Amino acid sequence: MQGIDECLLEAMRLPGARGAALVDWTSGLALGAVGESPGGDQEAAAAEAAELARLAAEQRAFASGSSDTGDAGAAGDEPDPPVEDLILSNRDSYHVLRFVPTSFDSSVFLHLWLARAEGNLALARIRLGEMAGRLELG
Amino acid sequence: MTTVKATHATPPPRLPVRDKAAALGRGWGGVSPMLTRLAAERATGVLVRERGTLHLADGKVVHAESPTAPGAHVLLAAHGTLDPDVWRQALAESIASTGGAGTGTRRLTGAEAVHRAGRRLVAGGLLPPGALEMCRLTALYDAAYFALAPSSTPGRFRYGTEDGPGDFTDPDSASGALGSAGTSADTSGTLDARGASARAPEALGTREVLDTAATRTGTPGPLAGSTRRGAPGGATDSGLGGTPTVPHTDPLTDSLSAPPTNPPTTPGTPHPVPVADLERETLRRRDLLHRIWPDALPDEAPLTREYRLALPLLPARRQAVLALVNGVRTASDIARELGRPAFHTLVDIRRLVAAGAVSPCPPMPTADPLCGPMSGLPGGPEGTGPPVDLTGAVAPVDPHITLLKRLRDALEAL
Repeated sequence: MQGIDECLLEAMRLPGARGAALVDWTSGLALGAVGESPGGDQEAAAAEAAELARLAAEQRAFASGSSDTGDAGAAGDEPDPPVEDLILSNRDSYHVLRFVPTSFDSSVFLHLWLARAEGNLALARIRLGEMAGRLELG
Repeated sequence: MTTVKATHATPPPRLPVRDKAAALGRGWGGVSPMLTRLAAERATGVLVRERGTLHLADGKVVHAESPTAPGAHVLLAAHGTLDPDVWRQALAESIASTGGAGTGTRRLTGAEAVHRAGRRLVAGGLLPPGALEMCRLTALYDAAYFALAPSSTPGRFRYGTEDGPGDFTDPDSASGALGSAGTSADTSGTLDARGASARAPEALGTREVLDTAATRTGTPGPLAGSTRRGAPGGATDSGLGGTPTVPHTDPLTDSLSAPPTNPPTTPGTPHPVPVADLERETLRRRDLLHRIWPDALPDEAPLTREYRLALPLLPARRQAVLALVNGVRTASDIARELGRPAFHTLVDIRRLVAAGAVSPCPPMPTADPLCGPMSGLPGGPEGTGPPVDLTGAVAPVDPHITLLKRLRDALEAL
């Protein structure tokens, strides 16, 4: 039984975690946030991350291979966010954006900000995937 | 702002012109001074605005409804997360278990019923708490966006505890308008609830009636039409009519509800949103839409497809929106069909408009019906006619509203 806050707090237990947020990428709204915010402004960070996530989610080039035949079928059976996660690195940190497959029609992702020195990208990806599933499936 | 307005040649006579409204009409400026004040005094109650209602508890927003935005249960039901029947069942149970309706001291608002039903589902393991939380927050911000939209009528606040005993104390004598406006928002909930409770016993297979009531509000059915789609009229008409409708219990839910028990005090309403956050977010959303396409017409007008362009490939989500554009549906209708938040649909619509794939129908048929007969009036000075004349011309319309709209139009035309 996990709500948004529990999920984000769990994300913060990952090694090197500096901040975590659950963001809606259509509106740019942070549905929840814990820890620090990249850039210091949580709302701005959410909006900027949302823009990045939206671009990734909407471009055909990044969709998984199976869906390229199903162009004609509008709103077909393709997985809701065609992208699973998005990793961005800079000199001192990682950002992992994990799309949450919501069963109601929304557009939500988990945004984890990791210190590069302590962060473990592989572990973070796995955990975020689990958390995303649990958010939606209980 | 005041000084600027004062320099206009035709200052509006003896009408409380709200500077904020003028600023809001252009999309910028504060959202609702009244809401800010209510937040400061940590008020509890229901703020009824022209396009939606905000439920406050202790100065924070705990729930929002708007006829334009689909509610959380619509979002959940549309994609099968929640079987509509299961939802109905929970709603009926939550209403029945609340009880107290028989005594007349307690009345379950639509919002409350929905909240309780949601909690019930989570407790029963039918709905993951994360999903419910996400959905409700999404729906809250969504409805609040519309509720806080620029309005031509002042908002009304009804003090009272959302989850406590229904001792609504009206702050001023204008409670008539407030009461019935409140019920117009509430009946939507009661409507759902009534459908739910009536339907729940004989269960599955008969979902049409409720669906039309709950999801297609507005178009079909005289009841839905009168309660929801009449949003602008709802508040104003009652303001005139002044029928002091004290919201009372619905006989149907009465008959179904259990004997009065003390309503369980809710353990902290989940995720109250600070007013400042909500206002900031609402402004940010307006800005977002404005940046995509600076014309707000497609937000409300029926939409048609444009076939003249070779369209770029659209993302699946936007294609789904485009597929529903048929010359009749508005953005809000499409949001309901898809079970998506209305604001999200607006974003897609504006992007489609910007891409040239969709355009709003010319505003002729939807043109302000209030202004039609007015403009035909012979010889009256523009925008300064006394309200008395107007009541004769259009009986059911609040003259103040009419006048304000004419003023607004005149100012915009300057």
